[in-house]
Amino acid sequence: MRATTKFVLSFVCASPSFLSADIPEPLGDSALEAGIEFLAADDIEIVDGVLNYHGSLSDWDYIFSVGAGQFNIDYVPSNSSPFFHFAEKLEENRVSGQIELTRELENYRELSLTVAGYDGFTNYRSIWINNWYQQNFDGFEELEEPNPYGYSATGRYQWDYAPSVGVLRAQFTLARDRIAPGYDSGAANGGIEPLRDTLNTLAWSVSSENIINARVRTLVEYQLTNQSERELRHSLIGRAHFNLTTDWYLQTSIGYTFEPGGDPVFNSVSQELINLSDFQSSWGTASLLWEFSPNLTFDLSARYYEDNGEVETATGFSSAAPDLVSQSAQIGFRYQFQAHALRLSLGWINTDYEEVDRFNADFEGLYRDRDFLNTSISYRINF
Amino acid sequence: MNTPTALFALLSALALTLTGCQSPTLSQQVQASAPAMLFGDELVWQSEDRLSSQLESGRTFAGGGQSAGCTSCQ
Repeated sequence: MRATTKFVLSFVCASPSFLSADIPEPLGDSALEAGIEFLAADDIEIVDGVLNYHGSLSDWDYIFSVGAGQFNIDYVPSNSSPFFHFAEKLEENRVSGQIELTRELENYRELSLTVAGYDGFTNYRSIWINNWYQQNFDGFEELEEPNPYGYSATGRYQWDYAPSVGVLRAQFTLARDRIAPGYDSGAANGGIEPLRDTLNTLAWSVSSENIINARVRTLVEYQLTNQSERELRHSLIGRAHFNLTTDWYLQTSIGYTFEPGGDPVFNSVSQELINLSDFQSSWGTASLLWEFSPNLTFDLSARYYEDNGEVETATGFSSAAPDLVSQSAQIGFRYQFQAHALRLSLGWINTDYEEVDRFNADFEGLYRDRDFLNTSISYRINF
Repeated sequence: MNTPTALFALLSALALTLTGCQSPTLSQQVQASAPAMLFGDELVWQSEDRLSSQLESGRTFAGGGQSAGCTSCQ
């Protein structure tokens, strides 16, 4: 357990205003966490589960994680392509694993290394788009059976430069993803040609976490991401947690992402240049927490998100997403009893896409407005 | 996303960083370390849904190509 947490925990556990008298001193540095989340619209169902084990051995802390997910999609093609495409039920599974090792160093510093991997599709959009290609080019010998997987390694250095008050973190991630490729129908032999199927990602981030005063804690994070055939993506996130009164808390965050469009790309399907626009997204969240009793906390959250789409589609064919505005609201509660903690939440997410243009009418079914129901349950035991 | 919104986000983030240079007292540190005040990664203290990144690709903060929607890039 990192120095900051140990230091703070020793005070928190001694203070009856923060934890119930029913809750004993921590039993150890080990913990088991399980969480499952469900996201569903009228044609999409996603379930995702994760199991984490936290432990320590000598000077090392470790977290072993395994995860699994399933996607169920009612694929309904656009009316624009009735002869090539047909409705289909799609089901895809994904498994993942991760190991994180952390070693505490001298002078309030620590170093950690994380390796992770997954097998299977990671999002419903990739499944939908892959199925469009599979149906559209069915019968071509160049058509590949998709086999998406990926792995990554992350190194993180943390320095509590002002113990319990200020923490700096620097992180570096190297990732490789094998994706289901798109296809170019402009091959010289009249066939199709697979587009890239591997993405390499380098990401750097720095963050600063600070206690401003008794009622305010902040975290600011900046990340730079360099991905294959993409321009540098800049992301900035600011978070602040406020202790409004003895029983009420407000958690807020704002974020902004920018990626320049770069040079136009020639697409041989439409025989035109696609002008890549700058990608920008911004979002804000707010959660109000009410500590009804030392054991029971209720929360109410809201989030607003908008982006300007990933590609300027006015000049040609592209499966990329158009402009998006989404809004969400969520209620939840958290119950803590001795070493056990349980959280349940129920939420709603609305996505509002800009209408796709006539070149990309095939993707109307993917980029239509939806209302999602989001539920989650998670449990943790410390021992 | 317009320029004023971006500027507001940037300035707010910078302001939060700069004010962190002060030194709160020990009792203030204790109060600011209640479970609801922490930025921990415990599942039971996460108010945000993990699966929303499926919908809002601009919020994808970690590496990983498919989660950024790059299968759709031409």
